[in-house]
Amino acid sequence: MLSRIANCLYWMSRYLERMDNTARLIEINVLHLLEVEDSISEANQWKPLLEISVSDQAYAACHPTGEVTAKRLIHFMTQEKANPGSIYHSLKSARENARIVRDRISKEMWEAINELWLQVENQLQTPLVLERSPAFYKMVRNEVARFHGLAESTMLRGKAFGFYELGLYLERADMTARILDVKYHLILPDLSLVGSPLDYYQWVALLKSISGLEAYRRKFHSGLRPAGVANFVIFDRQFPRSLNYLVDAIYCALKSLGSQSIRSHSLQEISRLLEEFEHHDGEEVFSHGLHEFLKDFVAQTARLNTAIHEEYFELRMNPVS
Amino acid sequence: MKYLIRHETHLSYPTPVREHQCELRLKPRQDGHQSVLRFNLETSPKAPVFQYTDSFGNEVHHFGILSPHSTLVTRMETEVETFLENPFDYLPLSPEKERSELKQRLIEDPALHRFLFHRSPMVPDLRRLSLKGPDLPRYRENAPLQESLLEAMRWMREYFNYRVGATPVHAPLEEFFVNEEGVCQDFAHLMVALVRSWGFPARYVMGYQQAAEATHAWSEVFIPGAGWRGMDATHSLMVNDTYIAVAVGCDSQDAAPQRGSYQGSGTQEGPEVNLQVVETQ
Amino acid sequence: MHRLNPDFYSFGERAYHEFNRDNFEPRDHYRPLWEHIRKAGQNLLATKAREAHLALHTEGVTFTVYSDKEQGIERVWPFDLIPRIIPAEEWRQIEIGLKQRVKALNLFLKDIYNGQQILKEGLIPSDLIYQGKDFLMEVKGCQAPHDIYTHISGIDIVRDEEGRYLILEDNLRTPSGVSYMIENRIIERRILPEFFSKYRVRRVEHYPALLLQALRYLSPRGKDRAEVVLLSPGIYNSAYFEHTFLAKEMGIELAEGRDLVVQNNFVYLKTTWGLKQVDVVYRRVDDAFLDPLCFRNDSCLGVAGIINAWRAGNVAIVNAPGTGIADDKGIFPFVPDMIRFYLGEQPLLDNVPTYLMTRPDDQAYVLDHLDRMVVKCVSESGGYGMLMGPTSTPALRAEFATKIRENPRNYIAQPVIPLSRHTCYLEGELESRHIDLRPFVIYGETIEVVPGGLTRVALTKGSLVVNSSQGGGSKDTWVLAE
Repeated sequence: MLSRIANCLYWMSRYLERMDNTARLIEINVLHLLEVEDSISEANQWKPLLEISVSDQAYAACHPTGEVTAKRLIHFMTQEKANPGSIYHSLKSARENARIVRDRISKEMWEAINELWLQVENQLQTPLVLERSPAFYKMVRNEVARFHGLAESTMLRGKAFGFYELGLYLERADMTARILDVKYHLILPDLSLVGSPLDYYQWVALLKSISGLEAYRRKFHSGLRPAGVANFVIFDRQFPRSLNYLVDAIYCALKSLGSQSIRSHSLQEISRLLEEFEHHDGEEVFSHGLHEFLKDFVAQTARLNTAIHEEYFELRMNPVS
Repeated sequence: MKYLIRHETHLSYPTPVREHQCELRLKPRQDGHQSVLRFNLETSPKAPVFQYTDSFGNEVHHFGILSPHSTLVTRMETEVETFLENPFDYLPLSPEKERSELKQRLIEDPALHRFLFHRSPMVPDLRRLSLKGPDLPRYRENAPLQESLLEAMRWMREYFNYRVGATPVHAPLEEFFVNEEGVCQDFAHLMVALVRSWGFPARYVMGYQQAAEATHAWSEVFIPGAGWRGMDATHSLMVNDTYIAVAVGCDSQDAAPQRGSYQGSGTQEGPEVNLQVVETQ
Repeated sequence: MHRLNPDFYSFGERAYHEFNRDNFEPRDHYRPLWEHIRKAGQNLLATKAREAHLALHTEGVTFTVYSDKEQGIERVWPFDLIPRIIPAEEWRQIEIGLKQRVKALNLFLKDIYNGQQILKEGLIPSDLIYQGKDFLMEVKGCQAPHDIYTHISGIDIVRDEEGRYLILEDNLRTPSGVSYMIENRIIERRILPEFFSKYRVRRVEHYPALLLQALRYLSPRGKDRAEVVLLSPGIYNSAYFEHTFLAKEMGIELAEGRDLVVQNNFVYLKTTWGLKQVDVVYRRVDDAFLDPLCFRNDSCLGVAGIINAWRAGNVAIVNAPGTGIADDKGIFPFVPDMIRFYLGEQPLLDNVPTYLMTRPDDQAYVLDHLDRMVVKCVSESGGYGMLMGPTSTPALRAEFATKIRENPRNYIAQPVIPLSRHTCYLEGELESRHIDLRPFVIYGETIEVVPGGLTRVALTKGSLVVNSSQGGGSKDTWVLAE
């Protein structure tokens, strides 16, 4: 497979997933806000989204005063063209990549992403009205789910599928870790607060942000425990969006691409990650420092991304044949 | 005369470039007037160097450096012997014989047409340029070509000024007319354009001159009965054994000493050239 | 020299009609088709036409109209469902004529880039070659594998008022249209299987297999170990559909310039598993853009160093660099001379009569009769830069007259040939439109011609312009088996 094509498939997935997660984050926040109490300021409700997407600087460039309001932030993260992490931008990039690899994905997949793009481009000609925005985000998420469903049922299980999966799981792992890190700290800035009356809605919001509420509830009928949530989101192999599940999935995807060589850096990186997950558990991580663990995890996914680039997408001198 | 030539070129790229393919035209030509005794070429970064002869008979060396790099250095060293002590060592034919001989040669060697018909911004169709200033020198039908050529060089010396750095590399000839000053490339191009407008084949030459610190450019004219003869319009001289021809072409682009193509967003700085042309025994 | 019949104007009526005789009865080979259409009625045609359009749309059979805007406009391929039928004997004549012509053109290319005998003998004026911008001196003296230059040729053929087949134009660089030829057959078969049952039609879908075989034949490592690649300018090119189609059908990699790299004078493909050596590059990129080291330095579509690798015999390029000089419109009038010179044979297929503006007699005659001439610019293609005498304004003709006088080498003229007409189903009616034919010739170990080719239709009533970029359409072309 051409390096350039593999690169496009990988990034098509990553951008699509990024957009999907961003849509979900905003949607949850908007719905959450509808019934919020005055104890937390508007700015503090929305700033975490900037932290998660690492867009503080980009935001400051658009709004030099640095003032954060719901309206501004929603606009910034949904349709601001100068924000490379905005939904508009991510979808545009995903679609451009899909166009290049059009004959590697199924026709239905291309039509799905193309039609979504046309719809979104059309709707975002005018600024999104806050109260009506949940409908928009839901539409976006539904279309992405449809895209993945089509991939699952129509895409040939060859190398192209491998790169598609790789991008998807890597981005999901990265985003999930970031969401957990930032949101957890909002709720529990200090371990000494464990045991104090939990803000039920905050925890619900966190789990909803990673689409894990129902799954969590199904497993743990009793209430929410901080350590339990951390454990679930990081280690639970049955939860398809847990970091552990994703690390396993990334490993399988890399294997399916045929990287058998012990010299493969990407395989080395992922094996290292797998080992860590074998040897730790929620209680341990929780007591030693959740933030450190998650920060480290994000750094590892970044290294893995670099390794994948060097191994598959960049020019390698030694001829194969 | 024998010469030792050392030619070093430095190119730098502030943002590293990759997949860099290069062609060098640095090896002096071999014909009746000069002969190469030895030749050596090195590159840094190191790369295997390949060689072919282009359609002008220039020997071309080429190589590729694929991994990212910020500088490219080429080092050439060659020893050459030149033989043309007397550039007037031929008997000019009568003008009628010159013209019929040219006709015959064009039939036998159609490739000569190339040096008759080629046009480019550097060597334009002079009739189409609206030029103010002096009338262009004409070909004298009743005299051997040599006379018109010498007259053209005298004319150029009178109306044009030589100044280092006056025009950029591969500058369109119009600039030379507008500014009335230029570099050796412009003098060479104008000579070629004039001769072609008279109906005789002419070509551009890049090479070295004794004790020069930069490459020099001159023209060669196909004088029927004598063959290709060099005319250095910059200095108003016929080319002799103190000149070493390296590459010929229809204009300066064909005979450029170095050309390259690379991937990368960076700009190219240079070339910085280090040249020594030393007479040896 | 051919001179025009003065009362030639109503050529539309005088044009040879392929479907009907003068008494409006169908010709013998169209009779079974006509009977079927008559019996089935207009409704059938209307339904089938809609089906065809839908099928083409779903299949994504499109072409892009080139414009100055960044994104071209993608249009569904305009297809007419009434097939053009060529009887076996007629086709045989065309086939042997084409093989002869392509053979001669290749011998010409070999000669013009090496010994230049044809120039030395004075059969073609040297200035025509040396003033041609497609004559690439950079490749002079280079050996093309097996001495084949035009591996793929698209030769445009028309019929005059008497129904004689004449050569209109040679296309020897990157001729396109094959994918549409095949798609036409697929669609026709799908929507009108009942038409086929009346005839024995020869197949066309083996073209990609034939082409692949011809490409593999050129591999420096031998045909059993041939890595073949299709080099495309990318998704914004008007023929991109065809590039993806052919790459898929042949099972070869579709690459752009940046996917290839030259290392140690060999060409490699950048794959996820490292560099893969390439043996044959089927390039749909023009010569000027093929190698930024050798030709246009600003090209992003090519591969730096590929010409050097080709020169060294380490990679084959299809069609070979430099073929443009042979389909230069200024050289076109000399092709019959090439056939006589290289093969010692009389041309089996004639050129459309052509006047050279560099010949004073021809120029004078043409300028006197501009309103009945087609004047073509030597360096343009796709129907651009052309003067259609009969439909032009006096101002436009005056403009062209000036251009011709200033730069005679750049123009040729041909009398307006009333292209043959055919019956088409357009917007609910059966109407006549002018058509031409582009058969495709593949030169590999042997010279093969795919039966039929692309029949192009000038969709506008009375128009003679058939190019898709200017509103042309096409038909399925049937060559009948013996």
